[in-house]
Amino acid sequence: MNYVFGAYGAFFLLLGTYVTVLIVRHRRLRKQGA
Amino acid sequence: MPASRSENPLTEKLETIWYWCGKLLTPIGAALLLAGLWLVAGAPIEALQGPPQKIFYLHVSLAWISFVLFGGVALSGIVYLVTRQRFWDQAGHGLASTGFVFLSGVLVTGPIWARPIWGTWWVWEPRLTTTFILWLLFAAYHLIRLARGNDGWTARACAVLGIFAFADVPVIHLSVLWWRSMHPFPVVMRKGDVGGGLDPAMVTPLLVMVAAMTCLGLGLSAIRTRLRKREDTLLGVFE
Repeated sequence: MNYVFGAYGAFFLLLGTYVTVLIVRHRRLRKQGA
Repeated sequence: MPASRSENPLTEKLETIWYWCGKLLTPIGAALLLAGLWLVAGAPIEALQGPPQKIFYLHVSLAWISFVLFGGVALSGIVYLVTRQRFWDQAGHGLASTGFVFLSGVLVTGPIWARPIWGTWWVWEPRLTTTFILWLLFAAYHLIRLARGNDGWTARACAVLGIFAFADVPVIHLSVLWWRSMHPFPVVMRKGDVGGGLDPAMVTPLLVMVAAMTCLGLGLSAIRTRLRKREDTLLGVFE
C-alpha cells in the first residue's frame, strides 16, 4: 500500500507545484499591470 | 513573411473558447479527480499484483492526457507555421508545459509501480526508453523557451520541435507490440475488444480518472496559455 500512497502523493506534489507556479505568475503579472 | 500577422476572427473566437475551457474544465477536472480517487479506493484488489495495481488508474490516465496534450502541441505548431498567428504559439506553449508536468507524472508513477511488480525501479526497455526520450525532447523545448524568451525564432523552432517530438507518441504506443518488452500489452484499447482486458469493476474508476485528467490537462493548458499571452502583452516581445 505504501507504493500506492507514494505514487498518488508524488502526482499531487507535481500537480500542486505546477498550480502554485501558475498562481504565483498570475499574481506577479497582476502586480505588474498585465 | 512577417513574424506575426494580425489575428483573424476565427482565431479570436477559438481563443475565447479556449480561455473559457480554462475557467470551466479546471474545476470540473478537480471535482472528477476527487470522485476518481474515491472510486479507486473502492475498486477491487487485483488478484496477482495486489494493492500496487491501483497505481494503474493514475499511470494510464496521465499517459493518455500527456499524449493528447502533445498532439495539441503538434497541431498548434502546424497551424502556427502556416498562419504565423501568435495565439498558436501561445497555445502550443501552454499545452507543452502542462503535458510536460503530466508526462513527468507518468515517469514517476511508472517506476513506483514497477518496483513491487518487476522488482526494479527502471529497465531500459522499449516503452520506458521511448517515453524518456519524449520527456527529454520536451525538456529541450522548455530549455529553448527559457533561454531565448518568446521571440519569433523560438516560436518557429518550438513549433518544429513539437511536431518532431509528437512523432515519438505512436512509437511509444506501438513499442510493446513491435519489440520484446517488459511493459504489459494494452489492456484497455485492444484491437476489436475495447475494455475487454479489464474487470468491469475496474473500468468505471479508470474512465472517471481519464475524464478528470482530460479536463484538468486541457483546463490548466488554457490557463497557462492565457498567462503566456499576458506575459507577451507586458513584455511586447514577439519579432
